[in-house]
Formats: sequence, C-alpha cells, structure tokens
Amino acid sequence: MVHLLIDLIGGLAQLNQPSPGLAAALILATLVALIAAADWRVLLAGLALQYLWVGLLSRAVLDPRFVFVKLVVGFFVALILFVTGRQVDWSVNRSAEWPLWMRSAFAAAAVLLIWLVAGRSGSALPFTPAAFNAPLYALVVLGGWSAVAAREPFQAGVGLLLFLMGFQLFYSVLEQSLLVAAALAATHLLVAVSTAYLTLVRHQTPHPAP
Amino acid sequence: MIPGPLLLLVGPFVPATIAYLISRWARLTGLIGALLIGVWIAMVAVLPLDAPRLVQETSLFAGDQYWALGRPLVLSPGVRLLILGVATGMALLSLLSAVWPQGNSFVPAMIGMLSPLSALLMTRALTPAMLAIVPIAAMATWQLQTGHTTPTQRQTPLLQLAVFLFATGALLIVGWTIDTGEAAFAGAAWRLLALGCLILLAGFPFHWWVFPLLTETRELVAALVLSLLQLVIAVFLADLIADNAWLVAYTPLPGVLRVAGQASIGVAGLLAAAAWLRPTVAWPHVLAWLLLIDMGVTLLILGQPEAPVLALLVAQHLARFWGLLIAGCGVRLTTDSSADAWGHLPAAYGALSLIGLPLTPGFAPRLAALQAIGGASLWAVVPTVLAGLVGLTLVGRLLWQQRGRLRNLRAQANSAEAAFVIGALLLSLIPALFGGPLVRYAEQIARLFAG
Repeated sequence: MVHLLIDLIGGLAQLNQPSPGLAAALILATLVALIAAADWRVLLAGLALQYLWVGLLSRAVLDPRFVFVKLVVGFFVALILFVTGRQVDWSVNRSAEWPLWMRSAFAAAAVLLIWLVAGRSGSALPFTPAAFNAPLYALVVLGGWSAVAAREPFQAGVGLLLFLMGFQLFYSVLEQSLLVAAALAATHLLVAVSTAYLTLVRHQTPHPAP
Repeated sequence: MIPGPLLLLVGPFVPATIAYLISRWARLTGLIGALLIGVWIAMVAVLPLDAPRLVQETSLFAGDQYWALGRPLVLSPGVRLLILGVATGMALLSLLSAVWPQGNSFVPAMIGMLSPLSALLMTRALTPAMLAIVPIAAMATWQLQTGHTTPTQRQTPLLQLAVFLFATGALLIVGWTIDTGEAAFAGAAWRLLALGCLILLAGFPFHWWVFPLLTETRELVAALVLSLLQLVIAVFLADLIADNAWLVAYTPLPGVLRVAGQASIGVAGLLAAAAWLRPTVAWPHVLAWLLLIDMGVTLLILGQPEAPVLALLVAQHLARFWGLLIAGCGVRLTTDSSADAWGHLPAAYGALSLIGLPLTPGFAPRLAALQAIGGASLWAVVPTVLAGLVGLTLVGRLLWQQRGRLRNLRAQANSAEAAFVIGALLLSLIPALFGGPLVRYAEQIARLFAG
C-alpha cells in the first residue's frame, strides 16, 4: 500500500507539467457549468473535475506531495457528497429557478468579466503566477456568491468549497507549511461533512410506520 | 503530570462525549451537561499555572505552556478567567436547555466548543488561531441546524459557516503579512483585518447575517452564538490589534471600524424605524435590530484604542448575554406556554437591557461605552442614542399590541411560568443595581491580558 502511494506521488512528480493557461481555462469553463447547473449530479461531477484542474494548476508552484494530498481530499469530498446525494435521491427543487440558458449566460458573463478584470496589471497578486489570477478571482467571487445566495445546502456547500479552492490557490503560494496544508485539507472535509449533514436534515424523508 | 493547556484542549471532549451518549434524553442531558461543565470549571479554576515543582507533582494537570505542532499554547491567567466566564454561561444555558430542549446536539456541541475556543485564545500566533475558528464555526453550524424542528427557510447554518470562512481567509492573509514584517504589505494587512473584523462582528455592510440567526434559530442557541462566541472573538480581535500597535498608530483601521460601527447603528435604527410601517412586529425582529445596535457599539469600542477596550468589550458582551437570555426565555414562553402573558415581561426586559436602559444589566456597560466613544466628540454618541430611542418606541408598541394578552397576567399569576419570570427578573436586578462584580470581572480580565 505504501509502495503504491509512493509510486503514485512519483508518477505525479514526473508528469509533464500541463500548461497553467490550459488548466486555468479548464477551471473557468467548469466554473461556468457549476454556476449554471441545477442538477446535483452535474454539480458533483463538476466539483470533482474542479479539484483535479486546481490540483494541476497548483502543480506549477507546489511540491507534488501537496498536490497529491489536495487530490485525495477532493476525492473524499466528492465521495461524501456522492453518498449524500444518493441518500436524498438527488433532490432538486427546479420550480423557482431561472431557465438554463439564462443561468448559463449569467455565469459566462460573470466569468468573462472577472477574467477581464483579473487580466489588468493592477489586479496581480504578490508572488502568484499570472495564470493563477483569473481562476483565483473567479473561484473566490463566484464560489462566495453561490455560498451565500444558494437556496439549497448542497449548492451552497459546493459554492463554499469553490471559495475555499480559490483561497487555497493563493494562500498555498504564500504559506507552504505542513500544519497549514493539513488544516486547510481538514477544512475542506469539515465543510463537506457540514454540507452533507445539512442536506440530509433538509431532505430526509420520514420512514413509513411499520 | 499533564500540561495545563491540555485540560482546556482535550478536557472538554470527555464531558461532551458523555453528554452525546445520553443526548437522546434532552432534559437529562441539560442537567448532566451543566454538572459536567461545573466539574470542568472547578478543575480549570484550581489548575496551578506557575506553581513550584512540589505542587505540580501532586496535581494531575499543571503548568501554563504546551507545544502543539511546533507552536506554543499559553494558558495565561487572563485567558483562564475569560474561559471560566464563558463556561459558566454555557453551564447556565445547559441548565435552561433542561427546561426548554434546544435539540439533541445542543449540549454536546456546546461543551465541545470549549476546546477550539480555548485554543483560539491560548495561541499567540494569528495563523493557528484562525484555523481554530473553523471547528468553532462547524460546531455552531451543527447547533444552529439541530435547534430547528423544521428546516430553515434560508440557509442560516451554512450562511454562518460561510461568514466565518470568509473572515478566516482574510485573517489568514493578515497573519502572513504580519509575519513577513514587510512595510509594503501594511496596506493590505489593515484592509483585510478591517474586513475580517466587519464580517465576524457583523459590521456594515456585513450586518445581514445577524437577522436570520436571531429570527430563525432557537433562543438559547442564538444567545450562545451571538454573545458568548462573539465575546471570545471580540476579545481575540482586540488583543490582536493591541499586540500590533502599528495598526493603530500608522493605519486608518480605528477610523474605519468607527465609521462601520456608526453605519451599523444607523442601519439598525433605520430598519427599526421602518418597522413602524408594518402592521405588526414580533419580538425576534425587534431583538435583531437592537442586537445590531449593540454590535455596532462593539465596533465603536474597537475603534477607540485609547479607551480600556478589553474591559468595555467583556462587560458589554456579558450584558448582551444576559439580555438575550432573558429575552429568549420570554419569547419561548410567549409561544410555548399556556401562561404566555408572562413571557412578554422578560422579552421586554431583555430588549431594554440591549438598549442599555437604567435598571437593566445593560445600563452600566452601555454607559461606560458611550463615555469612551463620546470622549472626543459628543456627536459620536448621537446615532447610538437615537437608534436606542427608536428601539424603545418599538418595544412600547409591541407591548401595546399585546395589551389584550397582558390583561391575563393576574389570571396566570399562579402558574410556574409566572414564578420563573419573577425569579428571573429579580435575578436580573442584581447586576442591574449592583454592577460592581460585572465591571470588576471585566477590568480584571483586561488587567490580566495587559500584564
């Protein structure tokens, strides 16, 4: 088991560094899908992909072992939310939502606006590669907005996780201590567990009397 | 011999586990929980911090320092006194939850919360302190949800978690900028610190999260989250600002906090005034507006570096705790009891205490705060006084609306609820008439923190 882990991390280290620009574009595209999606299964798939893209982007500044931990955390977060979704039969209340085209247009416009603002020289963050700017701002702003504005705990939780990913993208450049990395990983899991708990409470159907 | 800080870090999980195991019986959990917190308080109170070796060998826990993951945790006398105060408040809440159950997880999660709260105060570095906030927020989320029998309309529990995480993000970056010690990041440091303060202390424009918290959650949960947790957070932030004197001397941070505080009070006053346009108002809404005024005063105090900030904050938050507790009991009686008329009296008294009227526990702390705020210019206290007056008219209107029910006071006078209300009001008069112990406790904490 230990050998397998070491092989995996070694493989990650030897992996050709993907273009940060490509990883950033994938993050932005997935974010549009996540903001526009109403179906929880799409949300969950998008979230898992987002962890993967953010991990690949982080590879530009982080030790492969940290990236590996990030991916493992993402896997467990997705697993927790998958089990939760199954438990509540992927409940979605579509009645009061905007049509899909409107949500997609809004998400695309928001991401485009953030990309334009992040591209300006005044928006650059210290010690952070230029390719990080747009995905970082987009994840923080749209994830934070989604966390506050969403009606469902599942969607709000996904928003909060996106916010955390964006924050971590910046903070892991500044602070690379093991304590902080572990604490932030625990924060992701804590948010996932809280989201799962709140979702279950909200959508739990009472068992029929025997 | 085990290091003293471990009693605060790991110790709470023992009573929390016991309370969790019996949480099926909510009333019993309330009673046992209060007892267990009492035992923990006694152990922390007699803990020898800097005792000679002979004493240390005779006690299980001793010493004031413990290294966790390469960082020191220091249990200073000031931290101990503050945590003891918070734990006493929790014991009272636990006892009251035996009368009015707040959900199965209320007591275990509340006791468990003592551990990260202690860690937040014991660690002297900002980064690990901020990481201690995350479990606090998660436990508060758990409590806010279990305090409901039905799902909330809004995502109040997750909203609270989001608010704490936003602030944690900002303050983690502040920690990094302070650690680097580079003047180039001073601007970012004070701006992000101001942002963190405004988010955590519900300053304008981040005041919106207070309303659903107070109106959609059960009374004791609201008292815990909005007064005891806020007390620890406010003290932590005040201590952080005091430790980094350059923030006060060379940045506009105090001014920003004062402006945000005045804006919060102004918004609360306007919202309360707008309530006159509604056909009816309810106690939770009135309490939410009054609480927002109080939170604005917290920011004004934080923005007065020349005032005894810590003493003022501790006294203010303890008075807020008592006000929310009394008002919460009253609100509960108005909805759940056959003697509902008697519930309006503590609800009104708690509201008046939040305004800071004489003969209420909130009077002395509010007066001291206003004296500190108005030290430079009396105009600075005008918004607080005006907003308080608007709140006072709303309390009067609410009581007038309920005059039909209040006529039943005599008919319900023989009930257990009436006896409880009279007892609680008489108890409240003690800190109201003799504010000395409260003020001395607050001053003692401030002195110990400064030392």
